[in-house]
Amino acid sequence: MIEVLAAGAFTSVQDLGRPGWAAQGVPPGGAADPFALRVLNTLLGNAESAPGLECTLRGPVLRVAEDTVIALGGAAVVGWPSLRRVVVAAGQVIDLSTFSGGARVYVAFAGGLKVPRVLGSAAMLPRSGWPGLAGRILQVGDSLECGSASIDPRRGWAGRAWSVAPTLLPANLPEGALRSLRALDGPQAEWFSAGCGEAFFATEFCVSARSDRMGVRLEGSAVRLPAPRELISEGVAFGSVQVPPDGQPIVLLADRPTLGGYPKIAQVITTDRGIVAQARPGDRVRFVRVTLAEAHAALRRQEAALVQLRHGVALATKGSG
Amino acid sequence: MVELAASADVAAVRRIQALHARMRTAPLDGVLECIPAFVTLTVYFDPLRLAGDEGRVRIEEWIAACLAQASEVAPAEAASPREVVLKVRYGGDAGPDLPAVAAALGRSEEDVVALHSGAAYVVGAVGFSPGFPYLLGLPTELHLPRRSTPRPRVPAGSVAIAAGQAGVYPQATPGGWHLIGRTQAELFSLERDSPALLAVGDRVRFVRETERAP
Repeated sequence: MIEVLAAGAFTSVQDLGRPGWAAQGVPPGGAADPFALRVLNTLLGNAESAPGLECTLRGPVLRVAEDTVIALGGAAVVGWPSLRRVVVAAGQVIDLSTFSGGARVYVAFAGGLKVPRVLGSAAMLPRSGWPGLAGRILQVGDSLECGSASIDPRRGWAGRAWSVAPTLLPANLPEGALRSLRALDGPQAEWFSAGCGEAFFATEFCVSARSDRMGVRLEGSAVRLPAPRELISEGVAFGSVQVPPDGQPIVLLADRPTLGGYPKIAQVITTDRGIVAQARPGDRVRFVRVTLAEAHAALRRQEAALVQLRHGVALATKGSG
Repeated sequence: MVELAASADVAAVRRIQALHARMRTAPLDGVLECIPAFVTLTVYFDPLRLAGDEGRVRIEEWIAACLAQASEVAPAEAASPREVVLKVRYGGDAGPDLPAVAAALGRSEEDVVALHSGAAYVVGAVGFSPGFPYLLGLPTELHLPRRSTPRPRVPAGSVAIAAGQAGVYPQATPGGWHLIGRTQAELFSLERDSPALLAVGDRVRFVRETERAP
């Protein structure tokens, strides 16, 4: 059992979301930095989609009742190693309140969190009114259970000191660093003048404090249509860059509404979801135009690295068993 | 994304509905899901399973085949779309914006209710929040822009109008539409296999809830 001693600023249970319900208006949800959660789950021998915690800006303080193997990643927590298995002894407190290098820390637990699912997923959706942790963020006094783990914390190798190369998660960047987001032209890119499109890709934007799991809001020189034009609401995607009439772009994340009525000037590539989701208020962001072929190549490289990690974990586990 | 019309009307919605139905009957491996909305159908796919030019061709051929079959079956399906009747308590606490709406339109509250409940609607899209239906068919007499200041919390079941459309809020969410009534109907319920009460293409009518006998 895991006891929540302090809830943190905005801590929720997340997995890889609930695709398949978007036609009924259900946001896909899931981890805002899905690759980070997949890496951590892989490290622990979990299914990639096992539920873990997503901690935003200030993490929770947890206490484990029995020996538990965890992995932390995404932003870097002060006092705890990232991207490796960590054995937490019974009674030990995990203080995740301070972290840097990103907006979100993920905590994966060997065996995954055991929480009720809604429409096939444990992912929390705000304002859904759904029961339990599918409908709300963590609160002080909550207790969480883990499923049965494939790792035995009492075995010596469970917390062996090897870790994933940090380059696998390029989203971890020092505060104030410029985050480059590779992007394709969006479905309404041609609505904007050629000059405006070039300016969009040449401009640095600043991440607004009003950002949330629905979208990262950017501030900078306004991106405007040559003349007002109405878009009939249509499907949007993770990473779609919407431009509302005020000209301040919004990069849509996991809890985006399924439909959007603002023109989309660009589409951030799948591989760079983490880089945008980990942007903290005040961080600088720019967009770099890539081709579809380049986007696919980047995705294949990222997926191949995850396959390699999975094999490595399997070998290490077998070798020590 | 497949775009079938330039303006959102019932004919466009029927074609999108037929295409979506066809795609669900004959799914393509690698396609994750599809979102129908007014005049478009957005196809989400796994770029690793439908990769490069070959993947693109397969998706395009699949869409073309679905379109061809959809246009064959559409008339029969469109002849008998599902109709859902929603009972509404208009005005008062249930519809706090009814007086302001009537004033803005220069009509009586009674007129607004008669126009709203007298119209036949078709679901053009489901989105904004789980199960929220965007309804086409609002009489032009009731067209008015959104509220200048959105409410931070709209009660679940609120029946609303704005921007030439009608809608119903399934959950308590923020919202910028004018609230003219409330329904007890559950627009989204996890108790159902298909949680959303309404789907694109469904017909909807609003009926004034009659006063309870004392």
